[in-house]
Amino acid sequence: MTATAAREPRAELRTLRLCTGVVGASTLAATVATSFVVTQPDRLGTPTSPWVLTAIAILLPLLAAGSAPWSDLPTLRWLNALVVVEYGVLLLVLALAAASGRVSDGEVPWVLTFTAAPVAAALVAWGRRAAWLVLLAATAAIQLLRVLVGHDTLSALASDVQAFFASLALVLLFGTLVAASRDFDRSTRVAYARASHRSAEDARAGVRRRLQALVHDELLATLVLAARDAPALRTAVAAQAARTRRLLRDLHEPEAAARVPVDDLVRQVRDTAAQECPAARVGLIDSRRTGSAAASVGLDVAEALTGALRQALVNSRTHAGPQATISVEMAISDDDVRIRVADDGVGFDPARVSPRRMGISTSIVGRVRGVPGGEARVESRPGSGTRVTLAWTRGRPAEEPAAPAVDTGILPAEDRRVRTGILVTIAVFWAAQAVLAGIAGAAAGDPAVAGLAIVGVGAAFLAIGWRSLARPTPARAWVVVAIVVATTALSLVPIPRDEHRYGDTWYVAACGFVLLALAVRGRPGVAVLGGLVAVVLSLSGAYLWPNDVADVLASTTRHLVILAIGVLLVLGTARTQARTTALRAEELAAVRAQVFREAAARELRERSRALEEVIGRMLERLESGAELTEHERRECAALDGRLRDQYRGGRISRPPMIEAAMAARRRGVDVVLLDDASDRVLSETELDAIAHWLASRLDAVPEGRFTGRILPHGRDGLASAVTGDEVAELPRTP
Amino acid sequence: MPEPIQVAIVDDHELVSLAVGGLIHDHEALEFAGHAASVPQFIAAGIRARLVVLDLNLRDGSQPSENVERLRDRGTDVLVLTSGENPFLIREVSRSGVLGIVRKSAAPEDIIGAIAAAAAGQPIVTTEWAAALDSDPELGSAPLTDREREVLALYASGLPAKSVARRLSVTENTIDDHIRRIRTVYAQLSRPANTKVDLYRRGMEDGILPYPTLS
Repeated sequence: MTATAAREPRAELRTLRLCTGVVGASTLAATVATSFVVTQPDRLGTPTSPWVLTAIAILLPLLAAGSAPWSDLPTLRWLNALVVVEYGVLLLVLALAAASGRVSDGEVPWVLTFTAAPVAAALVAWGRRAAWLVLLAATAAIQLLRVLVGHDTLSALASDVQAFFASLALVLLFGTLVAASRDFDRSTRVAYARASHRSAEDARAGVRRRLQALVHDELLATLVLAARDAPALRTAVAAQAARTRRLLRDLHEPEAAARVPVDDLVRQVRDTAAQECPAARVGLIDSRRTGSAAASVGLDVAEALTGALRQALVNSRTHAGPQATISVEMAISDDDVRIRVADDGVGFDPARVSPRRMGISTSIVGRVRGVPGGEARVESRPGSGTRVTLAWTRGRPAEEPAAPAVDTGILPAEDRRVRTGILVTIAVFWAAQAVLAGIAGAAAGDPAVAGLAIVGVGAAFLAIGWRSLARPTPARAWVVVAIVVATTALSLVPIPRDEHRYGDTWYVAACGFVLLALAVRGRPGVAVLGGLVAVVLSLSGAYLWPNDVADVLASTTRHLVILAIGVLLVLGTARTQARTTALRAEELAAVRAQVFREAAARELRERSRALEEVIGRMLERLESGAELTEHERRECAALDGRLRDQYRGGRISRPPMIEAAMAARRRGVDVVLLDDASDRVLSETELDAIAHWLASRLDAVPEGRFTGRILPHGRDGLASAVTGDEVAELPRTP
Repeated sequence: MPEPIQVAIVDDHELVSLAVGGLIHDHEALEFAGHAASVPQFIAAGIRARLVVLDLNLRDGSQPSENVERLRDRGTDVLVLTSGENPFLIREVSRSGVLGIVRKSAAPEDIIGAIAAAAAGQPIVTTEWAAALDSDPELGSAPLTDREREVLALYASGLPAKSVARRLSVTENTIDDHIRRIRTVYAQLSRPANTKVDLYRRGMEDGILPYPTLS
């Protein structure tokens, strides 16, 4: 359908743009911060200086990030692919230079150890698997390079371990967000398709109902009485014919035709109740002030309300239990309609109905909320019945049914993939921090501080709580921050430090990861506050013990960069998700409205044209007020019968029976077709057989009365035909 | 010559009131008491009538069975005119004690014949009425005898009363007795009862069904 094709969901694109932007920004931030902290020795032996190399390395990530907001999906993927390729080429050039013996006692430039950039780029360009490959390949290549240039200090190892974990956490986090956005897009596509399908169905059904009402209210009586052609009635028939023609012409104006008079809506509600629940009675409170004729609702509103009502009645009838009584109440005023279906049956616990179950949420609540001004509520308690309220208020905008979800920060609610990712992250995090604690403890000669630090980091991480992904309580978040602050305070402890080593204060960076997790889980504010306090503490440590400044500053920078990535990601994702959800609601409403309008207009055109073909000329003739010929009177009777058959005749009214009945009525036969057995299921073949059989019998009737009928459920025969005194039955074919 | 019986019309089609009013006016035993577009208007106008000829599906959004009950509460009998309505509405008014259901497209002499009979308090049996009842899924659990079901099915197929009696080799009076009981039993269905168990229990309360005994 054209309306939906134009609306391609964009959650995935937005998320990939965000990832690209966050990676670019954090690459830049890390590079700038590191340039103040890490002294880059010019010992590469390459023709370029390390600054030129850094500039080249961050050029493409920055370009990708800068153009991300305007890039479409292919461009975004291409740019990120280039980032990965550039990174690989740089590594290769360095490796070749090192292998050719031109580098010795050198250092690997810091910017290349920031593997998060190429890994995230690979994720955006090719997906999760490619990201894992790039992470492993880059880590291995860096280690190889370090061996080649003879730069294999403990401090480098500490840096690489943290970098590896940072990239790993990034892949899991970005991967989860991208997968969630893709799911969202998929469900959006399904929602669009479903909305268009239902809107089109509703529109067609609504138009049919509008026309049926018109035929029933205006046309049938006119034709019946015209067929008598009594001189006393002629003026009245002409007036009624004129009125009917005017109403039919109005239907050509789609805007006007797509309105349903409130009285018609009331009748539809009563009809629906009578049909689904014969014992139910409709109580009506009518407090319209300005009058009756003008009051109307949109065709879409009427369809949504009656459709939801039908579903609510079916639900009550099937689930309320045999002893329950069902009541329907309707209140209308100038600007709102309220319908309530209540039963005193067994009820249910709405909280325990899976949100995936379609019945109530889609066919009742979603349906009504999907039209402008619609609102629906289902209230139920075990043992105290169910109450469904359907309402419409003029002028209120449409809204999407809110998903009753647990607040899980930016992560999707429970999902096996997410669970596995979290388990992997926790395991690798612990392993990485244990390695670092071991190195630091052994090298610095103070295992007590290292031990306290690993306990602190571990406790803070666990304190976030991982049993469920629901947002931690504020108290819990503060506990996490308190442990982080206490752990960072270890940098104040006067212990002998080795000025050449980087890695003594690894726990400051580790605390950054803990705060990142806290931010992702929905507490970014508390995480930032804790991060700032931790930074002040570690900087105080650097001030107190100046022989270790480089180490502390490096750890603190890492801590800050990690936290910044986390906060950027959380705020960006929250904004993206809110925008995408809001857009989806808007787009859905637009899709519905457009499809409904188009389908209604098409149906109206086709149906009213068909109707005009049948009765247009006769109405014109009646309007003239002239005396009818015998032939014309019979034609009126035939037309009345043909239109009437659409109601009571139901499934019998199909070829060749339509033509046979027309011909018989023209002969003056009083034809009555009855299909009241709506509970009898018949196949197309059986219905065809019935129509042919009845038609052949009717063709043989010269005058008098003919009754054709589909027999009720449970009878031997399919249909009966009665002419005068003679009864014939069409047996079921074996 | 007895006093003519007052008959009124409630129909929101000017044309129908005009046409049917004319038929009533021309009938010697009937007198046209007036017409109204809805039941509240009929009541407000203070029209006195023994019988009201009521349109089944008025455009004011009113519920057919409610209309019938309001008229009957005023001591007025009701004959319903239809123009091809769905069976659900016909079943609904059938439970609210109307004297009969006649289609507007029937021959004028049949319509006035039905009005005259209804004005005399006689129930009217038509194919439309019988077919809607005969195919009502709820009828399966109603306490009707096989013979009564047979009578209803024959009427529903479109046979006139004489032919039904002849086919069952009984008098038309016997057929009338069956019809009366079918009407009574069907009207019982109007009390809220949603299950067969309920209907069965009600049948016993009403003395239509025997209470079960241990055998």
